[in-house]
Amino acid sequence: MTNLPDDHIDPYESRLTRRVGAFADQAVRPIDASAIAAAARAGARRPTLAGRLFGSGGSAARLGVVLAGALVGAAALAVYLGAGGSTSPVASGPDATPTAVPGPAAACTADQLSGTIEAWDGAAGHRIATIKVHNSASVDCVLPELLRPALVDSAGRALIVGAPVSGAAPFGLPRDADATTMVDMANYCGKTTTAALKLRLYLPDESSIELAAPANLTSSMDVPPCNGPNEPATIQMQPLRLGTVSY
Amino acid sequence: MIDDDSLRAAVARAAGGDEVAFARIVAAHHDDMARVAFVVCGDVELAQAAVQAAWQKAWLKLDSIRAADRLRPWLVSIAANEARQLIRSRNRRWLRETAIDADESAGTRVGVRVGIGARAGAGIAADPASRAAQLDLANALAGLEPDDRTLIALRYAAGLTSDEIGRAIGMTGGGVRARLARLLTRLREELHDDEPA
Repeated sequence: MTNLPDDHIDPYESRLTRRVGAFADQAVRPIDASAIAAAARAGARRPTLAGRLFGSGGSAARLGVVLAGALVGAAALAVYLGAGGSTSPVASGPDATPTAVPGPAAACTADQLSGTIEAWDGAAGHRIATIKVHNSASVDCVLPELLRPALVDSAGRALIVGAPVSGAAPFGLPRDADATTMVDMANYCGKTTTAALKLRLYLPDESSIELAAPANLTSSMDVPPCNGPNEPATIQMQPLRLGTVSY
Repeated sequence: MIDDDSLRAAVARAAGGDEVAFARIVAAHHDDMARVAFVVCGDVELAQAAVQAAWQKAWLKLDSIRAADRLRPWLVSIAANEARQLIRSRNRRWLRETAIDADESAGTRVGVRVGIGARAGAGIAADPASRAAQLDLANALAGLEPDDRTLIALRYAAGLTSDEIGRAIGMTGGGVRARLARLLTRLREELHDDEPA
């Protein structure tokens, strides 16, 4: 329900606020924030670096500067590789797309992965966790970009378990790198639990890793509200992406 | 549930291209935007389409937000604007007036829905009195110009101050207050809200 701001215009405003608020509530629907964000990004193309540099006012001088920079970079890379260096993916910003790790990389095992819950948000009957998965081993590894998630209580009892995942694209996770994504949960109609919640991610070999939240976040975490006992509870994750979160 | 510090960090990261951070902003503000868009256009599906279009614009322009407390007024005003554009586009193609179905069993009155409210039925109140009240409001809103519905939406669905509305639509705060005062008088009469509740 809307709160009327302090700069009152007329006493009738409070009554109209209630009427308009109730009317407007009709428009609220459960949403998939990740899908909306992805669609917004796909539908809206930010100006590219080239566009910014060479847009309507692009000049030969700027073109020359960029080409020269590119040539210097290419030459430096050639020298580095010639000296026996190698390239490997680096955990960059979340814009980086999932990329297979060059060379043979083994499947990630539960032993080499760890993870944390970085944020826990509520929206329209959902709970959305932002999570981080870390490859703590000294070698790169590969895992599916989508894993089967579960919401568990502090004793490890599963409250909501996601559907098995098949056909997910491979995701290369370099050593000592982080991947991040979101897990969306809805409609938990079981017994209320006040214990610290965790998330569990199942790897293809049925082993799993558990993700807990830091103490300052745990107290504000709660199960997704029951939207209807006749509807199934749901939990699903978005594809992993390279990068870290720092909220 | 997203606190100010987290929101500030999310805005900064989203402006830098972080889609996960942007999704957190979507989760925090989508409902408010849908509510505002619905008051402007009166159609749930159209409102959701307007909000999706608004998120595209937000993604492109997020780096223009310098203060986190400006984010919400900015987002809801984009949603209102997108809804206004969609309803104008729809009005060009569709008949403006649609006869409402008689639903005497539910106790609702029979009248005419005028553009706005024409497809609001999915989430409309179940009890007859509330349903009639919502229909009255839908009809009253339908009689307003889109700019006036935008004012009503930003003030009474989003709860923005007159200064925030003024910044969003290019008016002074005083001008917003004067226009809202006239709209309040009109709606109070049309909705018979001058009578005891």
